[in-house]
Amino acid sequence: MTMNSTVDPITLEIMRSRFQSAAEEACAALVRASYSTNIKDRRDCSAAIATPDGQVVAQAEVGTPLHLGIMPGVIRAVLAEFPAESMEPGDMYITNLPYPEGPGHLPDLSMVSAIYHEGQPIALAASTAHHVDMGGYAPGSMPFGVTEIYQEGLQIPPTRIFHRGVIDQAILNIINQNVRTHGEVRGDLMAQFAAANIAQRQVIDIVDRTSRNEVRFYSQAVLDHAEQCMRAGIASLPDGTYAYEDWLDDDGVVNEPVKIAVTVTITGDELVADFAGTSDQVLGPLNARISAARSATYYVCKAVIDPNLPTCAGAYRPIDVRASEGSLLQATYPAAIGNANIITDQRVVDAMLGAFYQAVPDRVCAACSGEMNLVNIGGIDPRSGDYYNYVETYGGGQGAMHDRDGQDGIHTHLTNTRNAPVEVIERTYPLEVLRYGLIPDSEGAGKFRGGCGMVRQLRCLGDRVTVTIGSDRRRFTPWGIETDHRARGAHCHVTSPNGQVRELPTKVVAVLEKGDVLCVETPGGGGWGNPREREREAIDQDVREGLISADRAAAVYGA
Amino acid sequence: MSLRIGIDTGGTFTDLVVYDEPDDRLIFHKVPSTPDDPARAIVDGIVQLIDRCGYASRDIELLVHGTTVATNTVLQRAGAKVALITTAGFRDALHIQRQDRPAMYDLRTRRAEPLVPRDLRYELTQRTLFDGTQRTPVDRGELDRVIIELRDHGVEAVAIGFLHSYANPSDEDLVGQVLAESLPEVTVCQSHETVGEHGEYERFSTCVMNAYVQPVMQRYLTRLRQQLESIEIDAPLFVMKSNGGVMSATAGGQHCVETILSGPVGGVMAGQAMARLHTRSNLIAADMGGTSFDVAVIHEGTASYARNSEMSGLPIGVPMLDIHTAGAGGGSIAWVDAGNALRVGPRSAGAAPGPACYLRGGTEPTVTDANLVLGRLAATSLLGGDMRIDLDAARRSIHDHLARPLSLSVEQAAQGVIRVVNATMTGAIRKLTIERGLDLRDFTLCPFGGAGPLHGADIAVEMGIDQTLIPLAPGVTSAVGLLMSNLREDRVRTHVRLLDEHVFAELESLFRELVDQARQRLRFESQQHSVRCVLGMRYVGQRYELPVTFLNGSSDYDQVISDFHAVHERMYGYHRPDEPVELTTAWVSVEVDLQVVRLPRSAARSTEPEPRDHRAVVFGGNSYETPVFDRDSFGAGAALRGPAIVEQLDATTAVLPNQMLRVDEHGQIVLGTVTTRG
Repeated sequence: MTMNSTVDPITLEIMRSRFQSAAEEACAALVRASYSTNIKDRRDCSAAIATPDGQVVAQAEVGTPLHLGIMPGVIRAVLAEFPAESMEPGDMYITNLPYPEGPGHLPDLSMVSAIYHEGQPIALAASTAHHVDMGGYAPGSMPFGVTEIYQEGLQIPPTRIFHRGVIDQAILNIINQNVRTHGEVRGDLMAQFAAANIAQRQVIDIVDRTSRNEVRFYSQAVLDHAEQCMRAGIASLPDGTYAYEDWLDDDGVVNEPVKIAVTVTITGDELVADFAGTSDQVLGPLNARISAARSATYYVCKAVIDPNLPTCAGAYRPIDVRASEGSLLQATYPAAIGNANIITDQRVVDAMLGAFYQAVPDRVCAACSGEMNLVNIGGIDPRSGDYYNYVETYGGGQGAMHDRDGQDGIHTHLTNTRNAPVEVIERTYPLEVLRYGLIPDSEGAGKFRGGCGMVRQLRCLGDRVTVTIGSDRRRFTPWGIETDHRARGAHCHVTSPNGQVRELPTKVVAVLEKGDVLCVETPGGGGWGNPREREREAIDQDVREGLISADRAAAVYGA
Repeated sequence: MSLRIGIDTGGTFTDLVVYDEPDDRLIFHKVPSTPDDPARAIVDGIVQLIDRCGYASRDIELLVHGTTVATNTVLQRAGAKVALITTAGFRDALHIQRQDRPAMYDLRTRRAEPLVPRDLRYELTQRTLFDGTQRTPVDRGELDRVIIELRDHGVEAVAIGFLHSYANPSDEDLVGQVLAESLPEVTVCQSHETVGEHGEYERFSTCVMNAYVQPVMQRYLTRLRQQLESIEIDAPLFVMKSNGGVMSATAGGQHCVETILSGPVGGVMAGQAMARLHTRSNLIAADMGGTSFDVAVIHEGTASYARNSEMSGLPIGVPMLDIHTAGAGGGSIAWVDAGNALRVGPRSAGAAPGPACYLRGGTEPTVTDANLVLGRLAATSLLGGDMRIDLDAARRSIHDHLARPLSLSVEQAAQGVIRVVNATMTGAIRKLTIERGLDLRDFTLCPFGGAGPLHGADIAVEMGIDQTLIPLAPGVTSAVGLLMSNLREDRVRTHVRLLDEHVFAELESLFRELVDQARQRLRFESQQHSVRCVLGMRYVGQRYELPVTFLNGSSDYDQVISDFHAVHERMYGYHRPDEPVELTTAWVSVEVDLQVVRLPRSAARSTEPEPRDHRAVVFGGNSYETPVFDRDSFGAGAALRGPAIVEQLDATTAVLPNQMLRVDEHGQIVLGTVTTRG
């Protein structure tokens, strides 16, 4: 770092917060202007400011840290086809193609544009947003029962969609023809356009108050600063090699467990996360590219070292993430990839925390619900005749820590999206919510208990609908730490109007008829320590509040 | 004789401001707060004021009170034993909240505990649909069994929250009536009365908070009334709300949740009054105290509003002034991070242990220490010299924690602290202005609070604002604002419709209904009132709405639609003229004019201001031998050129080198742009 001698620590801090604020405001505009539930309610999106050569200087995520490792690849993929110098003001480029690098799955449409100051590209603005539908086999474009990306939806390689501020109608027409909810997709594209406008407004304002040279210089200084912070954080962890493995129930096509193995090696101020030993790529859509494992690794490092560590490319320099080509976490085209985001990546986090437990036990939690429990219901709304698509991921139990219980019914790790309110679901879709609550006795028992899982019951008011369920942890339920007790796993069943009940697999595309009631139950979180050492007062409170039955309190907690 | 008194209860001091109408003057008074019974400090303060100025109790015609009782009740979790009655299947809505967690990367953080434990959340078999249809009526037998349990548990308050009650409140009304008859001593609140909008978690939670606070608030206001009567004051008592208006104390005892975020509101209302009085109607009200920086924007003479906020991790779904808070204040701690950047905040030394210079146990450097090192604050300038502060301790702290690790001089490090904290504050202002498409060149900056006037000039220069207005008594601006607020009631109703001419034509009757409701609540029927109607609008499919003004009787459909497109363009840089537009909410605010206090005129003085003293002060890295003035010595029309320091009891104003200062006809300091002497 040759320029370090001239970096002013005060200007550095001011520039750092200006870049971060620019990314955050762009992301906020994207959420506010958006159309689909995924973005406006669940906030499954992010926005970033990058140097013209593609290094992310600041990134804002509100609903998910999943885009941490993905954004650099998105920008690289666009720049490989369209270098910044070739972009004109008002040009916007999109891609949703995960191969060889890019977003995590097809619904995550990403947009990149250059920010110009007096004719010179000074920065890039990028955003990724989970669009409601990208076509393919099932509504929502995250189907099960598929084995190739071709079946998952429309693939868009890096493509210029806006030229000098004007949308390319021909490309939009192709997209519209392939997606089920083209009004929402178009609206969300415009929201990403708004995010790019806001990012540009902000960055130009920074340049106007300083200079192009200062912005260039301090972009690098901000990256170096983040690297120093991350190195200092890694150095505070004990050196060593820590390995752990966890299992996915199955890939939704072949009924065999899928292994995720990780070995974390900490040497001084550097960290390697090596996924050697993980299963080979699978037939079902649980495969990922390595950028997903990077996201999970960066997330865990921030959570374990310091939640306030900066979010930019510099922070990742001391971290090396490895997975071999052809394995589950670095699958080869055209492997199906759509559901890694919601299942595989969450499990990578659980496995990594299992490894970190050996290094810093006080900073980790037991296994959380370990999946995002996708529920996607699409069909024709009889009230309007239009296609609708309800998509939501459901929280579950959080894993306990060495000194505190996990939380009940909450999103964990790689997702922090908000629920769709019952009153909004019923107004927007032909669905009626019958129940939305916690599941008693679903917690992982322990001296500190895991959180309880959640249940939602939905009645279909419209005619035939297609449902995608993406869940896991029915067989390999969430594990505890320093206890053999496990939390209750994921369950799902359908009750017909005639009273007949059928159990659904964890990963399925199914058809429901009018009047059918879908019941989705999410896993609890793992506990910590021997449940018989749990404080009497805490047990009594859970029993009084009905979250643990008296029978279970006696049998498991000895109360 | 007629007096109006504004009373602002704070954590450390209770500020009182009297407006003496016949003499056209404002009198300020401060007494230590009495947190165990805030009424005591109020009564003590009034008695002292009356004695000091030779007034009589009967001279008082109006009292306006900014209270933190509701806020503290929630913060300290010290409210009533409260139960919730809700729709069967949904008692965990309060527990699950919105499923998200407060800090995405922090495994240790926990979301706020609901104010009602799960065993006091009762479910009733009843169901209303989104369009208001009552599908399943309330089961009276089940309700009777719940009432027995409520009595057995000795609950003091009950919140009733049913799904879709904003669309049809009749089940909540029914249960409320039955409870009032069977449990007359118990406080009952209905969710649709607290919040008229969809979103069950926010509505239920806000209603629960209201029920939780109400018994405490009623006891407090009753006690205050009695104590005022004991000193023979029977003037009407009003309470400040978070929407910038006031309500009667009786209403304040019922709609307590509307007072919870009223703390910073007084200052904004003072700012609004100044903007209306001033040649410029655009003003940024910036309140910098010990721990936080609260900023609000007054655009075209009117403060802007928001509808969603939170207190202590729990949502509050009632209309309130749009105030953005940043963790930047005199007590904010400066530190060096692992990457060698100089950071300020978010941690604050607060009043205890306080800045290093207070010698109360604080050792980490704060913004106040930096101001002291740079000479902007003098060791004698706090509270008129009543409080001892120590320059050496400040220098030592900045040296050890900042200057040495960063290889800077103590003055450079102190200057750095000021630059970083100013950047945090300008960032907060930017969020409310530039990022909403407002041009800062049209704005006046109004910095107040104990630390505001020290930083105002720097912030204005940094943001390109050419006019800074320092109020008469910056430390008690919030109390002054209490006297500048009208009676105000807001009603918001969820009303989701495709906006066509037919729907548009029905708006007048909807607004009439909402205005009637608001007027009933105000209980001020005979008075002159003004009405403001706002539509929440969006493109069909969007979730977040944008506000568009609706003029009852004179707005036409095409105008409203084109106004919406224009607002969307300003906010997001594009609009979609061919897309259908949807109505989401109807919002009225009704104000009754209380003949608010205007700023008194200040007398001119024949003599030019003379400095009391000189001292070395660092501005922009250079040290200047700087004259120090007493603000009390300024008369209207006084003018001088910086650098200068202006001191008064509760604040210090920094004037930059080559910046013009003048005193306007109300005694307010107006700072201009920085020019080079020529």
